[in-house]
Amino acid sequence: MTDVEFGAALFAVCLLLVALRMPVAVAMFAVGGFGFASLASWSAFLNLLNTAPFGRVSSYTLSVLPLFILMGALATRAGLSRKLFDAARACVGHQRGGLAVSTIGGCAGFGAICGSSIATGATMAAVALPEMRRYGYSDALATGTLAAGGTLGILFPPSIILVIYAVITEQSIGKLFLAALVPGIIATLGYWATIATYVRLNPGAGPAAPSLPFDERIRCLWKAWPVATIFLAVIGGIYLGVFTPTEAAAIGAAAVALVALAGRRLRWRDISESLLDTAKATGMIFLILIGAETFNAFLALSQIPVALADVLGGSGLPPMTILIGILLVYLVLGCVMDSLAMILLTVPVFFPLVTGLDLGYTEEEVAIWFGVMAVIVVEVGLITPPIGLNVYAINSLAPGVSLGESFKGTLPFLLSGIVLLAIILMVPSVCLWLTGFV
Amino acid sequence: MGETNRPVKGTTEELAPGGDYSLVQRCCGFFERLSRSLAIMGGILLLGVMGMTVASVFGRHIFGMPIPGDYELTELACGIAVLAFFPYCHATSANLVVEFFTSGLGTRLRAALDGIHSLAFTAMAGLITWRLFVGGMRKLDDGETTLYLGIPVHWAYLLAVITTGLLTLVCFVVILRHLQALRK
Repeated sequence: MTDVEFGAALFAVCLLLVALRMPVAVAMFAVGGFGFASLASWSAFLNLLNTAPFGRVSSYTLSVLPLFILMGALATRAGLSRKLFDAARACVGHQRGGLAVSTIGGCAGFGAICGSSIATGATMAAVALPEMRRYGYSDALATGTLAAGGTLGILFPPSIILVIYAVITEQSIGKLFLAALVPGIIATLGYWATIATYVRLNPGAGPAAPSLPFDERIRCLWKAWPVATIFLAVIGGIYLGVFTPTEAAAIGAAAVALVALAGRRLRWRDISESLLDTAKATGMIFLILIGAETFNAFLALSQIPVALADVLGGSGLPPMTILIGILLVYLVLGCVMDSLAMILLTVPVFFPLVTGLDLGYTEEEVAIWFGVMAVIVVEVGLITPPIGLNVYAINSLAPGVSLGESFKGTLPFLLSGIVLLAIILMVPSVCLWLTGFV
Repeated sequence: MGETNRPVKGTTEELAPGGDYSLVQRCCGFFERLSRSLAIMGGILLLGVMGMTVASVFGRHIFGMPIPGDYELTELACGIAVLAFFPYCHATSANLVVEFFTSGLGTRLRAALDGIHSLAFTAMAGLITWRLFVGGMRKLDDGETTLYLGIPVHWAYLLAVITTGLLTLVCFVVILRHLQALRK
């Protein structure tokens, strides 16, 4: 058995273990460790463990993660989602489908200070779901909108998935954030168009809510300024090179805490709950990163990524066909796998192949373009049946709504997500033009 | 949301005060509370990093003087904070599992699978703890320090060993819980 065959077999074992409910971190660690020790030696593996786990958790680049997660957790407990929803509602709430449009707007705003998809959807659900139900929105539209809106959390910077992609492919976090900005706006517009079409076809699904008086509208809009300011400061600062992404995350978290304290929405109990939320999300991610470190060390030894790049790259297939093929693999995997696990398992395998393709762009441009597409595919995977984690999360918050109903409501947004992917695939400059200014 | 009553949500069934409980249950409860306190301490450390970084950025841009060694302080403190989160994360079953192919299995079979995975988790946590200890000892022998502030690195490893040690103990608690679930 060659190293590549051995590697491929172990890769399959890892997928099997994950399918058997083994925690992803443990599956990657165990398979990676066994593979590494077999290809090198057990003492080499033990030596790797002397420094690798601590090195992984104490890296300056990765310290951006706990800080952004803290920022999102504080924003969740501080009730910022209500302010954003109210502001969006002040503009469009009195239109047909307006509350759903406001929900997407609120999600986009919250996604701009929170890097997690499920957190964004669930937070907004607490505010928007009761409102949409009160005004007689259909369960399918209400839960579908929230599940889809949540995905804006990982598309709009800061984005946890983009940070992890940046770290494993050694790309600039700042550039990836900027690259995802325009696609995020297009995704928001696409979701709005989806809702407009949906309520035109089913007028009963999203009746108009009563209009607010003019001064009330201005007051609601005004409430959103702190969030807008924080987002602009964080992204603007990275863009202008005033501070590193890690510093941006610290400043963002501190600013959200200040806004919350000023609104007297944050007592010690809320802070300690935010810290515990942060602990859970951060611990989960970093434990997987430690597993992935071992797994990637093994993958590199097995030469699988190089072999795959040689075979497919030298096959004479057009580069675009190969790229589309990879994206299709991602779409299928996304139906059954979690986003984080998918990125960490597959990007090390596909990345050398993709950056080696002759697509008419520099290697860095391809890396950034592929990263944005990978995030969009992950986002689509979060709302595709049978395992759409976002749909599950929102559905669990909407008692009395069947899962099938929620998936039915999510379907139109799924189409919108695939259209977005096609746009980015055909017109890479949509995500690349902003990065050209850094 | 907003629930802070002990024990932590999603862990061993609530122990009403004054009841008659086995030593095992008391032990489990103790380690769960310990991991929760450790996570809060890690969170406070993270808040500290946040404050320090903000001060350093302002210092750099306004007074032309950042806090010396801010990057290495961030690295070390964030690293220790993250490690401090691990036991709590495991105790509250916050670890990522893919629930798709197994959702149709019977509860007993799933509990058995979970038991096996918990053993694997324990082995991983134990292995990491052991190697962190060895790694820390080597750092002590080499006398390795951080570049700018000269902080001895083995101190960070010592703290790391404490957190992963607690993680290993929490792993045993989780196994005990699975055994209880299997017996039912």
